[in-house]
Amino acid sequence: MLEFCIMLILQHGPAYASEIIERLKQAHLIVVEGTLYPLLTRLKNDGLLTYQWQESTAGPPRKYYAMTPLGEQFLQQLSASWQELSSTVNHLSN
Amino acid sequence: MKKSFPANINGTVFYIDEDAYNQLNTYLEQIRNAFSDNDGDEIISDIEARISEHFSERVQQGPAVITIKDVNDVINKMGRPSQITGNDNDDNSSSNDASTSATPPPFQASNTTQNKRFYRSADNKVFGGVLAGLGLYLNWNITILRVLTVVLCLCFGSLFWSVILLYLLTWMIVPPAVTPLQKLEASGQPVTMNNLGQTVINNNIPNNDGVDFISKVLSILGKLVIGFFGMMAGISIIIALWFFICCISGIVSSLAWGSTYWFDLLDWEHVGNPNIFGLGCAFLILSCIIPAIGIFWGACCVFFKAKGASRTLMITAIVLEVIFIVATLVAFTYYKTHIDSYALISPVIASFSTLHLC
Repeated sequence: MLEFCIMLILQHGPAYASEIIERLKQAHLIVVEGTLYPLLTRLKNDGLLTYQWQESTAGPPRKYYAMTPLGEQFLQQLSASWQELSSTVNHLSN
Repeated sequence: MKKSFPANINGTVFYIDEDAYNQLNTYLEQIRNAFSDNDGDEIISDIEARISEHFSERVQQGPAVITIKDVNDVINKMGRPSQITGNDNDDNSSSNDASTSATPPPFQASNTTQNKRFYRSADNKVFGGVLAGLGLYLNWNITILRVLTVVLCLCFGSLFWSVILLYLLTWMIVPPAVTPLQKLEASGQPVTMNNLGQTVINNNIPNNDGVDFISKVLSILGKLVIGFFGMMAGISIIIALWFFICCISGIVSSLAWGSTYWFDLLDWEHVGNPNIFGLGCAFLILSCIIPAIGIFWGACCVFFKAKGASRTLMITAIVLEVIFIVATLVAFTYYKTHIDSYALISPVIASFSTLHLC
């Protein structure tokens, strides 16, 4: 679930961990920040994400995460099944 | 007034109070333990980077020194190890959930003395460090415990196999104390920064004051015993494999088997089939080979620093061993019930079953 949201955020372009956390906080999704890092590492190890070091204006270089082609493919599958699920739930709850 | 000093977190230098530093260090240590099995380093460095960002923001807005309150705030934001990993088997934090919620709790050094755990000792061992670990756990003198065990084994022959079995089981079940945190838990010292640091320092210096003469003698004797049994085991593996091949080729090439399927073996119409004896022998040899390989491997571990068997492999071997023992007994019992010449091999079976059952 959280993985799905992370990939939705990264769909629009690379982001580094703090940006992802901000977006998740805006969506009232994340409870503690530490949860994110094991997930990012796992997604990266599964080949769905990749990262690049980028210099930042303030402080040390940051890790920018981005989607891989495999990740995009996987996200499409996820979105499709999510659509299906949500339409089922909507249909039943109405 | 507090002592504070500069600390480098992910490439940025912060002035941090001593107590705040200790708190943060314990926290990172706990996270490292929680992720020790996979990609721990990467996750830790990511988390450190995020903590560093939080501190940068804090320093820009307020006083230049990081206090314990700032550290607690950051830890609350990042979450406790049990929250991050998503499982709640972290004893420290779950026991503290009920007591306090204002301060992030997993780091109360006072009550960790109760969390004394039974680990095998990795530093001070003869075979597997089981007795050394037990000595630490029970606060007994390790040398006395060892001598007592050996004497107990030698004086009461009936206890010998059960003690050895118990030792091997404990060896498999109880994890070794490897990390500094585990070593502190094994000896029941409170988990504080100073103690952790001391353990790390002790790791790098060979520890001589705890090793007395008797322990040294026991250690050398232990290696001699392992070496002897390892050599015997190596020889018997070769002999047993040869016999096993003979048994199998005898069974396969036998005429009676040429016309029979494997599952017809135990049918009543094949009563008196002498090949069941060969089958029994084959199982007997297999059930002897497994412990022999185990002993041989153990000896290699001690002398050539070979890699130890994984727990899964050991458990598989033990299950196989039990299956082979049962198969041997079934085959020979079948043979005994149906074939007169049982008297020929009965002493073999008798000694074999006492060896395994006593």
